Amino acid sequence: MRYVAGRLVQGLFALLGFLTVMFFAVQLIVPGDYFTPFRLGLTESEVDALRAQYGLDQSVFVQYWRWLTSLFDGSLGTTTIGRPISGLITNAIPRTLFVLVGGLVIAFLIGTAQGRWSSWHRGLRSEVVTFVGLVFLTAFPPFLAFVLTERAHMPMNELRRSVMGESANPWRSATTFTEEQVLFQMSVSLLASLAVVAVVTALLRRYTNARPRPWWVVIGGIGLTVWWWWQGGRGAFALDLLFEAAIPLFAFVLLSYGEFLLIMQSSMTGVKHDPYVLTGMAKGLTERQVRNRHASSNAILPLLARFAVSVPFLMTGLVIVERSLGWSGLGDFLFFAITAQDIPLVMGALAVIGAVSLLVRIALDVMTVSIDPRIRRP
Amino acid sequence: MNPGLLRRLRKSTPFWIGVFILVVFAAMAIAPTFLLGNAWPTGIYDPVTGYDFEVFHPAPPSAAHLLGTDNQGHDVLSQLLSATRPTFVLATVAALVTAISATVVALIGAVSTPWVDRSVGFISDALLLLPAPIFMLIIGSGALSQEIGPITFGVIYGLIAGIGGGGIVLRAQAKSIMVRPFIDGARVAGVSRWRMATRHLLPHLVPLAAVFMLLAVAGAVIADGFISFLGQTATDVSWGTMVYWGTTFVNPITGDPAWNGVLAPSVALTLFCTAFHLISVGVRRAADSQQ
Repeated sequence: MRYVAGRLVQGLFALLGFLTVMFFAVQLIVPGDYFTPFRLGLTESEVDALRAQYGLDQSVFVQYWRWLTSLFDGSLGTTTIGRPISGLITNAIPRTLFVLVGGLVIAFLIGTAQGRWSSWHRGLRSEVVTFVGLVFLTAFPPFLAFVLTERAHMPMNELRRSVMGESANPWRSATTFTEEQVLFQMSVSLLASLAVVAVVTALLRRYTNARPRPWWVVIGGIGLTVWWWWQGGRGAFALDLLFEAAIPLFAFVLLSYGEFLLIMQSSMTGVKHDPYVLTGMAKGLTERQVRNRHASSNAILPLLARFAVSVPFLMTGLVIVERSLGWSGLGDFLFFAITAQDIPLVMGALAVIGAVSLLVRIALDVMTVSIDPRIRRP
Repeated sequence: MNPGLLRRLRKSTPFWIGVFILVVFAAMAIAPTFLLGNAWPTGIYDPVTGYDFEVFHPAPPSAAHLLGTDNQGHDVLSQLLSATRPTFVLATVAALVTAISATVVALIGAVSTPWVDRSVGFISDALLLLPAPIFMLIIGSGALSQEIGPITFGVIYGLIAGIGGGGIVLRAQAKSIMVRPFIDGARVAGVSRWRMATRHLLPHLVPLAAVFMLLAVAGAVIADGFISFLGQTATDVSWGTMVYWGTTFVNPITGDPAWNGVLAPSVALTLFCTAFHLISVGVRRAADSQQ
């Protein structure tokens, strides 16, 4: 617990330092302000009056101080023309969060399973699996997104209509919840059931000798998540949204599972010749048991460490996917802010993206510590 | 680098396949210099302004246009070749800057005082929070956007990726080497810090730095593609702008995009990154089997 708190404080300082540097960097790189692109035929004196009204005529340091105080009271300040940023961002967060969390879970399961398999079997089939992962990892994201919208959009809409009925929106008009609330609830329940599944398997392993089969764990997790969605009384709405989110989710999984595959493959190759693998074989365990239990649980540690570094790259992939598919999450939002030269808005989006990567990193650190008994502290 | 590593590298098949693909790309980068204006008349084959009045666009592949033309009448092969050069320069610069800055961060972290080490680590942590393509996007939208050529882009991307992600991984590796017995031996023998870093630590960092450098290339090329896809670079023709043109200007009659114009740069990008990946696999295998 103290470890987590320490990491959190350290991370927050890093985030603050990063944001400060970014604030001044953005001021330097993007000269001008909100009124530079949107002059709309105003005269110089009118623009100056507007600048004075919104406090843009003050020095950079005054603006920085104003922004810093707004960061600490949690409102993230207002946009240049006075709309509260926190409101705008909370509208964008659930969409990003859902695709990020759901996509990472699916990509992790597929990627590690394939990496585990292909590192164990040398040969044409394993090379092909690796190559397909590599192709998607290095595929040009806008191209992939374009192909998906071009080819997968229609069938997806057909499917949605046949499942949800002809008029697609009775669920939406019936409820008082907004899309964002439901999406947020969906991602939170996904995370919660992940945590529950992890705790239950850990307890089973510790107190009984039973080792649940991986497939049962996956099915249990999905079941629990779906049950949670229905429990809130907005299951149909959630299902409808899931159809909408399916294409961004699919694109994100395709773009990121190759990363897991490659890292898992290299770290499995590293442990393949360790003595305990030989011991396991000598004890008469099947190859599958040795691979899936003994070797892969050792190989997962480097995977987690390396994955912490690739978080920003995955975030980038997400931003690109959102931008190209018109899924109006944080990435789309940030792009809008940059083109409008609304510096407080850009900073708000950067702060949230930084905070999300920070949280993912800390979660990974905690996982590493809890999995690896060697670095667990007393 | 020691001779054993090089010898294993010479026998590695993935390494040579990767090198072969890169050589092909290098030839492609040089080709327009000889072709444009000689075998290819500029009026028809210029990647930006060229237009062939004798065929109906978009044209399927033919003898005159080996990869066909897109919906605007550009020759796809000519575009692809002209776009290869900026990408090649960018990738090389990004790779070198990433490897050098990551190694410097790791060396500083390993041999300097704890205080310096901690502050360098702090900078790495902070930079890791910043996805490099997003930073490039911010730069590209500003007044400097017309001055961001491939070289500047490569340097900035390399610094962010090298000090951030690469620095963290290499620093951890350097620290795990610093506790090995031979370092203690060198310390007892009275070796200076500088010599310790360059002679004893550096050789063990080079394979990992090479791997990281080659991985950074894929990121840089995709980021450049993305930013030129959004129209924010000074480069006229790049793989990203080709995809952008291909998907934006659809065939007015059928509504279809020019598939040859979209597919060609995407396949080129994947092949280019695959080449670097194969090289890094070769280096890693050679370094692994050595230990």
